[in-house]
Amino acid sequence: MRTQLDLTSALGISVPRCGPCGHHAAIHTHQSNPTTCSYQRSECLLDAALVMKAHSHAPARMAEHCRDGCCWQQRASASHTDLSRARRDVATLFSRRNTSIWLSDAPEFPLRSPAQDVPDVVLAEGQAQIDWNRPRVAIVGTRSASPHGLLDAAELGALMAEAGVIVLSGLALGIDAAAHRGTIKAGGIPVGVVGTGLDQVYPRRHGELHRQVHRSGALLSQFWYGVGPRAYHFPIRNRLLAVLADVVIVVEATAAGGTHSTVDHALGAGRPVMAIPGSRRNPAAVGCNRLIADGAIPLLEPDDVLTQLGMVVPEPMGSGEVTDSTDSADRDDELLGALAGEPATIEQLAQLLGLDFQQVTQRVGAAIDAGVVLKDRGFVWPS
Amino acid sequence: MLASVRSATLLGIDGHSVDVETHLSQGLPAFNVVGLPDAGVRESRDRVRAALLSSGLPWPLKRITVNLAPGSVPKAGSGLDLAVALGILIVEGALPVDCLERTAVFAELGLDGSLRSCDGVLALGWAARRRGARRLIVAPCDAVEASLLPDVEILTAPDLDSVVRCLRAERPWDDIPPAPTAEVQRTHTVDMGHIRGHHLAIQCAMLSAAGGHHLLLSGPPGIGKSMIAQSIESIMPPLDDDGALELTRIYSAAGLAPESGVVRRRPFRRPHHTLTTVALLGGGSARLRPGEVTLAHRGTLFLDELGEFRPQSLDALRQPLEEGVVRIARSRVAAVFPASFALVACTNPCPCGLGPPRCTCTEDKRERYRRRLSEPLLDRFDMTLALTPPTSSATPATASEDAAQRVAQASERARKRLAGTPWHRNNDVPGHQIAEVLPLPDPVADVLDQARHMGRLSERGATRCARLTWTIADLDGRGQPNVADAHLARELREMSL
Repeated sequence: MRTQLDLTSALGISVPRCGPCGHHAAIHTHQSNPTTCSYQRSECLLDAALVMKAHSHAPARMAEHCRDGCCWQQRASASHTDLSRARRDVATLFSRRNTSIWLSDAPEFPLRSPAQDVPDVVLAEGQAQIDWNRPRVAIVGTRSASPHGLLDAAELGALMAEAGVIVLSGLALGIDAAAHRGTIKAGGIPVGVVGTGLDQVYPRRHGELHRQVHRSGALLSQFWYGVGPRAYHFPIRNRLLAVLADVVIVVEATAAGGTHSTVDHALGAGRPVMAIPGSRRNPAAVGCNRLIADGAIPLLEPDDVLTQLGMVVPEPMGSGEVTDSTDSADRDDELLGALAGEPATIEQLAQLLGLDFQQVTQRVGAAIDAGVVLKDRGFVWPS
Repeated sequence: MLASVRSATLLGIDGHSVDVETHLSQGLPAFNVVGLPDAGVRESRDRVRAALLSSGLPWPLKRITVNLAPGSVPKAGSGLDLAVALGILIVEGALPVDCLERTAVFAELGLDGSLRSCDGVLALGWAARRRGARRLIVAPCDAVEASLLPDVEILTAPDLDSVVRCLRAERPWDDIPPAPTAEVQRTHTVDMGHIRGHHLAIQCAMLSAAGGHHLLLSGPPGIGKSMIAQSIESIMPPLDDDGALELTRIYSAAGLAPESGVVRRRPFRRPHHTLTTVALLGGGSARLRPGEVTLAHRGTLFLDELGEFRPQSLDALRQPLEEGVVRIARSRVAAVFPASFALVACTNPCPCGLGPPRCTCTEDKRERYRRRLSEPLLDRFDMTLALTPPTSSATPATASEDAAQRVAQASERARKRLAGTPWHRNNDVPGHQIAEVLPLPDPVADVLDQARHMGRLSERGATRCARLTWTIADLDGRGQPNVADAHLARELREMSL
């Protein structure tokens, strides 16, 4: 399926004076020799936006509609004045929101290597100037993440930020949010690819995160303004997320979850997929382990990502000493040994260590202060 | 012809003194009751007439007017029957005018003239005593309860005829059995010895029973949360005489007085989650009735499946949990009921119920489930505990008998320390008094201060931890809390869901 052609034909229909073929030609002429073409590039972009708007409630079928020739022009029966007014409205909206519009066949679409199923039109907002030539990773995972997974996502986000890598994620709960937060905290470039219109916040409690990503990075969407969350939007969103990334990292995934759709799109587009292995007892790690068994690259150390990206791994700054010496006084190895990487209650710890509850809580309290364990939902987790 | 007999009516759980004035006049025979009587009081006309006639006493064929003074207070209940009957007998001349000098009268009459129990005798007697009454005439089944009143002579007889003859000094008053002083035999259903594993939860249950601390148990279904909570009933510390008096007054006013007449055990209330907010807090339009929080006063209120309760009911618990009393106000009446109880609640951790590490709920689902319980309510729990299935090698807990003994000793230690203060349990002490009444040794206080400075404990959290630290030491039989106790208290407090 040639999406570029579909879009052009859609644009052709959308302008009353010319047929699809005429406009296909016009756009190509425009690209080859902008001065001789009567169809301005700005008009082309606005028309693309209008097509997108017309299909805002069934974006997946946009190309299909265009091909069938029953596009918005027929539905809206737009006259020439209507078209001008519609273009003007969209132009006003874009200038007010400072939106840029990317066409899949245009040079500003930051696609590193050609891929199938690239969305025809993408809207982008954000206050930061982003150099899209930088390497990009997508950090994705389940919404029902364990505290370990959240920590991993945040750490990876921070590491990517320090290495100057753009971090893409989906602004969802769990891993996505942790990755964004880690990136923002380390001063990196977060890019949120959302499954709603750019003026919608989903999930609602991510309002603040939404604003932060907008401020320090960018928000991308292939949905028109005002489009709310629908279950079928997210696999579509995952496709964009996957093709934009150079590497897709799965931090935690359940056996069956939306993360797998991102992975499928990434593999389809030839993007490498990395996964963090976990305990088989952790339901949020089962998906990752299975991915690795199926051939995904295991992510054992955060630096592995940089290696995969072909970036120079920063010289380990006495890596062995950093983890061992400074913490050793505060590290409670016996406690960590009893936890063995799994969460446990105070009661279980008391049994494992053979101590009474007062002694255990004292040890746990010290370990929390030292940052080697953390508490969540009534359990003690090794961090 | 006029006679005035002293009685009282119930307002909430307090009595309010009432003078029953009876007037006879010439005219067509009639019998009217005025002075804000409710339907129950108005019906007393028929009961009184039948009782007098069946006891062989004269019924005046004149115009009888009964006034219940003061006229501004609404009168409820059937406890005024005997006072009305005796008033009529006095104005008629069947009894001497001064036979009810400094005497208050509370009993319902049967049609055959027998004396029946009325609600809240203790509260009524209290009100009458405050107004100077030194003798109380009550029904035989209320006599034990009334005998808890100090400096008051309790008189009783089986029926109206006997009362009249006693007042004429033609027969002696009946003897009153002594009030039970010791706790009656425990009849609990769950013994702690039946619970395998869950040692920390059991310890928390004992802390809750001993110090009145609020406990939230969370865990997968069928793990024994409710069993642990119910076992608290079997380890309650004994109730002292003051407490027995207060609870008897509450229970009697609620019409729930035990057969023995005196409440000698701490209450363990476990209402179903469909209860209304009024049933939980108390209220009602005509006559304010105490709710579950007041009925659980000095005991435990157990709410199983906390998330199933109505959110507004649970949020209404916040004020009594903080103040130890519940203030009820209606258009005509207002009351303050005591409500110092230990809240024990059970809940599942998430919709799938499994909890970490097996839970597969999304963060969103978990969050939505958790939001059924408001944060301010969760913040009032001193101990929050996640339970996991016990291992197959888990040993049974100590039997209730031994646990009860430890709890009783801990409770006694706290009572001695709090002697001379208005409080009975560690958790009753208000926050601003903690430093004076429950001072922690410096190193122990440092543990809590440090947690507060690190932002891991709120002000309220630190206060609650301080109280809990003392109870942990009490339960271990130590005179002073140590650093480890503070750590345990802090950890139990911090283990949020």
